[in-house]
Amino acid sequence: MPGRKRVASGKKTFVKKKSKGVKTTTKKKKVSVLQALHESQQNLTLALDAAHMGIWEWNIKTNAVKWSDNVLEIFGQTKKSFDGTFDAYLKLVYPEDVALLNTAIQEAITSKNNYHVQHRIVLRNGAIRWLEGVGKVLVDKKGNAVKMTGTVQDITEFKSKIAEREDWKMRYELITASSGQVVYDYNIPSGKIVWSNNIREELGYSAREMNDIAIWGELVHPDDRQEAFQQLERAEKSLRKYDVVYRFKKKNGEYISIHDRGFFLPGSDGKAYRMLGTMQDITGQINAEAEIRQSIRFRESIEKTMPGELYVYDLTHKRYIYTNGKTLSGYTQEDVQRMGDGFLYSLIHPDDRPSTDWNKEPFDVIKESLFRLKTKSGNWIWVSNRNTVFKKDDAGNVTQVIGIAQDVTEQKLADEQIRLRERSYRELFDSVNEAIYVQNPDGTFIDVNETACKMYGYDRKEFIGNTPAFLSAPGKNDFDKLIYQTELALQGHSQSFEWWGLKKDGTIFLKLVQLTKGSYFGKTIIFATARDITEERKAVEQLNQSEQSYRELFDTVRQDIYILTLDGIFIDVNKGACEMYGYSREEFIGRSPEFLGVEGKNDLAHLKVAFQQAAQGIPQSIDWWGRKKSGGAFLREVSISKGIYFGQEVLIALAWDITERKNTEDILRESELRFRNLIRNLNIGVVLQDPEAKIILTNKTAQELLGLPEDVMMGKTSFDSSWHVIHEDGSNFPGIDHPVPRAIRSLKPVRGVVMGIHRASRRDLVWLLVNAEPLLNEQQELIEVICTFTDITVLKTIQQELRESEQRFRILQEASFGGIGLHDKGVIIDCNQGLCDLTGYNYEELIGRNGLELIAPEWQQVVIKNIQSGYERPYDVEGIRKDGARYFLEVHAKNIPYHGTTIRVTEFRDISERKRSEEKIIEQNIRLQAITEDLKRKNEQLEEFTQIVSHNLRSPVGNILTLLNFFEGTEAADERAEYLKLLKESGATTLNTLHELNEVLKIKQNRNIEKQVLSFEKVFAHVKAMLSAKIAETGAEIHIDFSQAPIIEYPRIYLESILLNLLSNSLKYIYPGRPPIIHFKTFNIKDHIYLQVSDNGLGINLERYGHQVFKLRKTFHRHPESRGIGLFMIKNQIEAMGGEIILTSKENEGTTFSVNFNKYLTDGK
Amino acid sequence: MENKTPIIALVDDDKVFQLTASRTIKAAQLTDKILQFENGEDALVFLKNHASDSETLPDYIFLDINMPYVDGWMFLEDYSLFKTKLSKPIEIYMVSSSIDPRDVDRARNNENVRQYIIKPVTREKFIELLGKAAA
Repeated sequence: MPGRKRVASGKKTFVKKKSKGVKTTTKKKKVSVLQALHESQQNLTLALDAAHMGIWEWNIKTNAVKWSDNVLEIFGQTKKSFDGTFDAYLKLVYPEDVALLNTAIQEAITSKNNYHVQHRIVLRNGAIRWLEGVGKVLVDKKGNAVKMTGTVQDITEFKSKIAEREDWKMRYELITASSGQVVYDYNIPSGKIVWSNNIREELGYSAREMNDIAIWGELVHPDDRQEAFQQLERAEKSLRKYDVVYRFKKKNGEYISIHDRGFFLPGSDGKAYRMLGTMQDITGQINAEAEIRQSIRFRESIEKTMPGELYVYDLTHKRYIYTNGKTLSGYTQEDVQRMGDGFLYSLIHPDDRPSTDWNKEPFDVIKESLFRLKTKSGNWIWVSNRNTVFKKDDAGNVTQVIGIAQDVTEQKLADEQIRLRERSYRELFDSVNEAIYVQNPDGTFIDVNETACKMYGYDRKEFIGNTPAFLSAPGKNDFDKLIYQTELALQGHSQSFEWWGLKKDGTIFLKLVQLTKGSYFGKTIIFATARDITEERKAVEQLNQSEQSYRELFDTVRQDIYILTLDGIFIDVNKGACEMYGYSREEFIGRSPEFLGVEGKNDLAHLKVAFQQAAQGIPQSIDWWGRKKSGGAFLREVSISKGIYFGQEVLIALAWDITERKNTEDILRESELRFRNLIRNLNIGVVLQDPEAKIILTNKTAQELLGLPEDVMMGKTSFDSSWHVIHEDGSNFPGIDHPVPRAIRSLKPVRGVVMGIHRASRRDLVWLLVNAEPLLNEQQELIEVICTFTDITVLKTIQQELRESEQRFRILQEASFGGIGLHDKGVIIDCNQGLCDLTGYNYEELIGRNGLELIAPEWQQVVIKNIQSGYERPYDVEGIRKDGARYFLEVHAKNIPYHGTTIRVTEFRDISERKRSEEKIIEQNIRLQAITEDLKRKNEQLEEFTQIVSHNLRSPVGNILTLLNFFEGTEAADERAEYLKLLKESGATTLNTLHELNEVLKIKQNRNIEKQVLSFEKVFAHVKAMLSAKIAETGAEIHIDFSQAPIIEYPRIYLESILLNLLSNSLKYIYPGRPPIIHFKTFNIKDHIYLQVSDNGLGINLERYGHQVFKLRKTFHRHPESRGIGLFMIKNQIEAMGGEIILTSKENEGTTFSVNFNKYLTDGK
Repeated sequence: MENKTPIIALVDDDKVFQLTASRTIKAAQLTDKILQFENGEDALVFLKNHASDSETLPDYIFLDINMPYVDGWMFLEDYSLFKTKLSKPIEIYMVSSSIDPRDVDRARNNENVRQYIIKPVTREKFIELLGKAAA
């Protein structure tokens, strides 16, 4: 190892020496080196000239450029025209490429890497050439770029070859880019994918980021990945088309729905080695489908919340095309479907049908009609409906209406009964279609009906009293016969005859008259009924004429027509048929068709079967090789069907030429350009048009979408008058405005044009989204226009349906009887006129307004609660109008899905009237109740008084009388003394009772007794003092709490009485052995002052004694002190002052008295 | 029953009525077996205690309405609950000074009240009532 070190140091010194040596030799040999350099440069120049390659050196600092001489030729310049500076060079560069060039230079300088650029220059003659510059950057010792040097070469030829090669690829990319499709080229063995340039635009990734099949796989939604790969594997093995929809993650993280279609190219071993295809974002389409589904759900839920039956009715087919499921007729939707068209109409009473008919009413008309409907159970119900126009046909006739129907039978029944009763004989009489004449046996008219009047043009009055003579056409009728027939008719034999009538205006007509005997208001009369048969006669004549004209028609038709018997024998042929085969008509008739066929070409057995089938009414179609009389053969398609020919059942055969169609597939298969193939198979319609807008190429999809075969389209221009194209709004779309002519004029792409094209071949309309991309050459000259289009008919249909659905909803809203608003968390997002009318705001004012503003403030909490909880039943609140007026409102709301969120549909109904009457009733009830209560109380008091009189007063008085009798009936002194004592007692009792009664009467009468402001505490202290002895004796514990209601305005003597009696009551009825605890407490509830007195005494059985508590002289205890006067007295006092006293009690536990001093405030004041 | 003198119960808090009524009945020789109760409760207790003792139970009860504690009406309520346990039928006359038609109607509608009699009750009335019942 040490030796190596030594070697290394030696080397170092050697290098130093050597470098010195070089320096010295450089000077010496400079001339010869330069010489050699010059020579080699010359050689190089020759080589470069041959390769059309120049060299250059650019001093970055000084901006000076050294060019080899041949650059002038490459640049197409002279020394005069090109001074060799960098700026002069930049001036030559094709303007669009300058930026590119600068970028390439900057990148090379920054990275100190090799420089490579391809750009165009403009020659002095204006021609454009492609140059390729290659070079490298020279750096100084510090690493700063100081110079660039390199070559420049004319690569125009090379470029144009590439351009040609790239042509189709570019077209294809343009096509796909214009339709939003990303094209891929997947190399199967390597797993690498090459993407079209629009990948960044469509998916957000650069082509490099997605250059591997594994990366693609990872971006497919995990749920769809397995399926996507399985399908890929299967398609790859079988070399079939790959056609899958999956979700795909874009660079921004968003998942989109991708429609991926690809084709496999097999390698030499027959296995797939390459896959070409496109990825298309179809999220919009999928979303639109989801939206329509949601919209339908939305509409349905709205319609379910509506009252009555909602429907869209098709007037042409007389059937519902939509209903909300509610049904007035009792038939279910399935029933109606089964019965078929016109069924519903048939349920409507015939008299009422005209009221439901429509003609050409404008769109905003709302028609109300009233009709009878036969229900499933066979009853007639009255239905009121409101309809408005939903659809019209081109002629302006209404074809569909939308409306609401409600059963109004109840209200209508009454009207109808009256109507039925009033329906007179006259109406029936007049409504008959036949003319009726009521005549006397002598022929004079008694009455005629409307039809008769119309028939002759005379007034009813002009008939009456006259005989039929004035109705007779002069000289045409046999009057003797008429009289004879009238007599026969009067004998009961009905007569009928023809009669030549004379109208008031002189017209003569023939009618068929029938005479019948009848009775008319009790009289024998002749009924004559008549029918105008002029028309019938005419019709028979016309029939004869029409047979003749038919023959002419039959012959003028260009097509060949053959009439055969059901067995297949010619009865008749037209001129066309004769010309076709060259036989005369007579040669056809009576023969069967075999003689017209090319021998061996037609299946005659099949022909026979076809005739049999057709004879059974099944139309047949066969191919027929025909031979002309002159020998020429041709192929015809013949249709055979059953028909009537002058009353005879026949077979009618019609024949067409079959044009051989070119098999486009065959031609296409020949194409070797794989992109051309791809275009053909692309699901986008592609049409290439030349600068004159002439079509030069179409693909299969284009042919399908435009409904024309390629050979028809070839050479056709956008200006061709046979195109029938319309704008989205239905107006005409002239050829000059089509995207291709516009692109030709502007040389700029025209994108996203929606065109509706009538396809004559299919008699339908297809909606296309059309792009036109002009393809320009270097000179900005138009080479061709690529027109691409996709079928958006489904999308348009969905959009249309969506619009209709929303329109339908709006119409329903408008037709609805109440106010309807849609709101999202309170904010109104839509409403109908009804809501405007109800609230006084206009539509613009309501939208965006908080719906709560329509509700009175004190009700808003209720509404908020109901919105939050999703309450779906009707409830009443008070509403507020714009002018501040209040009204009662029934609110009925429902949550529904709408454009991805949940909103609430709310129906407002003004129920002020209902509320007002409800309130009035409640108010009256309350008043009535109060009066009743008052009366009841007064009555009770009166009754009480009667009882007092009858029990307490009559009793002692009766005793006095009895005792007096006893007194008088005895002589015994001791007995007399006893009776006298009893008499005195009874007298005293009577007096006492009278005194007490007087007290009560005073109370009752003295309602205006003077009141003063009293302190409960003070009055109670006074009462307590009065009963101090008793309190001491019983050891009672008395608690008072007057703090909550300390004072009262009341008569002092009453309050004393009340407190005294309640306290003494509690002290009196003590539970034996239990010291009394008594609570006095006052408090307020609202405006009322309460006194509550509770004790722990004996209590009473309220069930048993409750009714007697406050009665005079009632006691419930075996108690020596029970007098039964106190409670009776205070009850009277309390009630006299408008109060109430009640008690609660439990036997053996205690009693609580509650006094509400001013329960009936008005009574006390 | 014909051979026996009836037992009478007077239920009334009015001392004067008790005295005059019993003297009148005795004087008329209708019976001398007179039970006196000054309120309904006492009468009820007596009836319950002697329910099976037909020798002691009264044949007639003269029942006042207006009494303290248990009045005539309450007596009738309780009576109807245990009358089936009594060993013999009892005729009840409601006796009151009340001429209030409500009292009269109420008594008439009570199945246990034979008759409503308005005080004062004369000797003739007692004879009529007790004699009729005896017959």
